[in-house]
Amino acid sequence: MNFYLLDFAIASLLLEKRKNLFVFSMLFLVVFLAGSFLFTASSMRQMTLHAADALPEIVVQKRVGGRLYPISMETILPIVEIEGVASVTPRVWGTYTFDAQGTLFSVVGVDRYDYLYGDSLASVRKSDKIIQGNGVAVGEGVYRVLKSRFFTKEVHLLSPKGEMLIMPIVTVFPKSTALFTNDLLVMDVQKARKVLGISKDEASDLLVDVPNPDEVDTIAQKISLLSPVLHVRTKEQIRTVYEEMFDYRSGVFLLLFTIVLATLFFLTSERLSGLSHAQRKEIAVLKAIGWSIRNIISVKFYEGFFIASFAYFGGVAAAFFYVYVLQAPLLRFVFSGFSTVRPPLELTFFPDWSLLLLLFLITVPVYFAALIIPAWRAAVEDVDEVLR
Amino acid sequence: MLVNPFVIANLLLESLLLALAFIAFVVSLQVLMWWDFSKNDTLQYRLQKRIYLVSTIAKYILSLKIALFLFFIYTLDHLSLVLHGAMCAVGVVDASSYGKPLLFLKIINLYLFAFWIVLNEEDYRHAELPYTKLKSFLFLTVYLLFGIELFLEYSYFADIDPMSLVSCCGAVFSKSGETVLAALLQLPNSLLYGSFYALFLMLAGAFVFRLYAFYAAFSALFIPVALFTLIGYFGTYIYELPTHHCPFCLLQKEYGYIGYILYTVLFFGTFYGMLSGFFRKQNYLKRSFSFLLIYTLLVSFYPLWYYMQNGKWLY
Repeated sequence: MNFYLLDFAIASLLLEKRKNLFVFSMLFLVVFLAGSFLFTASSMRQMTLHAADALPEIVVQKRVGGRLYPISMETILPIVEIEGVASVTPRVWGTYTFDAQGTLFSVVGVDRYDYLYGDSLASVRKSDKIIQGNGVAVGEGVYRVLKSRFFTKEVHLLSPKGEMLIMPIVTVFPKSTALFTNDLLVMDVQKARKVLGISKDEASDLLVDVPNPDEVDTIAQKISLLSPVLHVRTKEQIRTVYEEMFDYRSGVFLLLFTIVLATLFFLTSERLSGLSHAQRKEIAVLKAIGWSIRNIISVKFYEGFFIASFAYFGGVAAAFFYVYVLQAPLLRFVFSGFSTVRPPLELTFFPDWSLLLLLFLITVPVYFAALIIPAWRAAVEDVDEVLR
Repeated sequence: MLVNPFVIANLLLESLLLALAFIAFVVSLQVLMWWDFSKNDTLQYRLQKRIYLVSTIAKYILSLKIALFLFFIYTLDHLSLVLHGAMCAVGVVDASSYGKPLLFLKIINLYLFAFWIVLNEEDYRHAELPYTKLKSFLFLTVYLLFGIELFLEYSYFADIDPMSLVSCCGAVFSKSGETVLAALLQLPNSLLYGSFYALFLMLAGAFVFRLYAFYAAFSALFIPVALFTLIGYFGTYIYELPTHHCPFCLLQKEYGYIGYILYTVLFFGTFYGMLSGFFRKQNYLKRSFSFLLIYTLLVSFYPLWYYMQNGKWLY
């Protein structure tokens, strides 16, 4: 690195303020755009994977012809007998369509002795109260919807048989657990069966607890061999699906983003190639006093280096601010979608340094590529013609 | 087809570089046809200007290609999270039949591009630009290889089926099996590290006595020997597991990303080594030897560290 050239490059940047400011803001905007998208995606992905940690090792469902059916309690016995399985818990849960607009609640039945999936629900283990009081615990989002319909004390639910079930609201889950509890209606398992239309000797699905993670795949295979209607999913499979989903979205975004990058390339190239008379004269003078073509190209690259680094770091900082401080307004709905009782996700900062590298590689090289030909053109300008 | 941000970024950048290289390709072709330093006409004058464009583009491409190669390896490593059964990049490379040729070609292209840059620098040191025709010819070759590389890369990523099962490095680099690799892995360890240190001693000898041709030949030989002993012997000490033979797991977080350092040092060491045979300059020789010395010290550190901590060897 030649510091005299560097010094010269900064001075020459300041001479052409308007042109350079334009190039800077273009690159800045592109970095900011791509950055906010990638950071939001990464944050959502991390949160989803984090939530997936609370999932049970294996979930078994009954699936015939692609449709889900309640699973018979008799299936538990052969599964428990497989070596390595610590316990099998039947779950009773499902969705309940609350109103004509299709607002969906998740109904979960709890037993006093249930293994509650995840510590997050265990913390709100008010099951004693729910069971004895015949009541129901609702999530934050559910309570908001109910309140807008003036149901503040109790919930009215219609069973598939046409029975109206009226249950008092015992408690509302605290906001800190909203990620898991926002759309939940937790009630006694017997009531849940009535609401969801699941008979006494059936369950929605079975959770299989396997203490040794190395045995999970083999056990999952053994379970699926028990009967062709059993659909087995392991935690690892679900994680991979999430991983793929977020990768896919970011990938499609980048594909579309190619158009933006092409625009950046052409606009920058266009802007930089028009040399003013003063600039041409300057280059001519420099060459007359002994600068080589390579010196001039280097100066142009030093200039580019300055603009690129300021635009890149500025863009990254702005994207960080937009995503983690402002919580990515508008953009987050691309990932979460619109829904009445969608959990209020908080985008938390997960440093994923590979993303910074990715962001750098898709923006800055494009800018430099646009710089090469104008820089060369300026450098090989004929001295005598300009000075004449 | 895998639609993944890292994959798209790789393809995007490589395509951009190939498009730029096309300009340099056309200029190189013109140089090959019409370059004559003794002439004084407009055409020669124009060509002498254009050759600067080629060198700028080539420099830009090389500096990005080194970064991109590491990024490519990182991408493979990242994909191992997505593909079923893959624990590290080996399974991902194996997920398509294009994987191995692609990786191989990428490494060759890296050496060629680096060689081109040095040739270019040497060219400018002489007033009459003696290497211009040679470097233009070399650029044509590099451009073609680069084109093939990009084609392979597209085919490779298009060919990977995210739903299929791939193998883990434990299966690919195992001692059992009929492959050449398995046969080589079954060699006694003393032979492995013995040949490595013997070759290093020969390199040191050639360095001390300034035997350029020998040094260049030894450093070319150093690439396979170093890689092989890394898989067969030194790697097992990095993993502290006698059965773990894998050149890719080194690149993971669990081992402090040591692989990136090892491979970079190895690349520069062997590159300058081969270069010293071509240009016979002490400068390159010194640079090469210091890189290879660092490499040797790094890989030797792991077995010694293991011995110091545990009081016995792994085998």
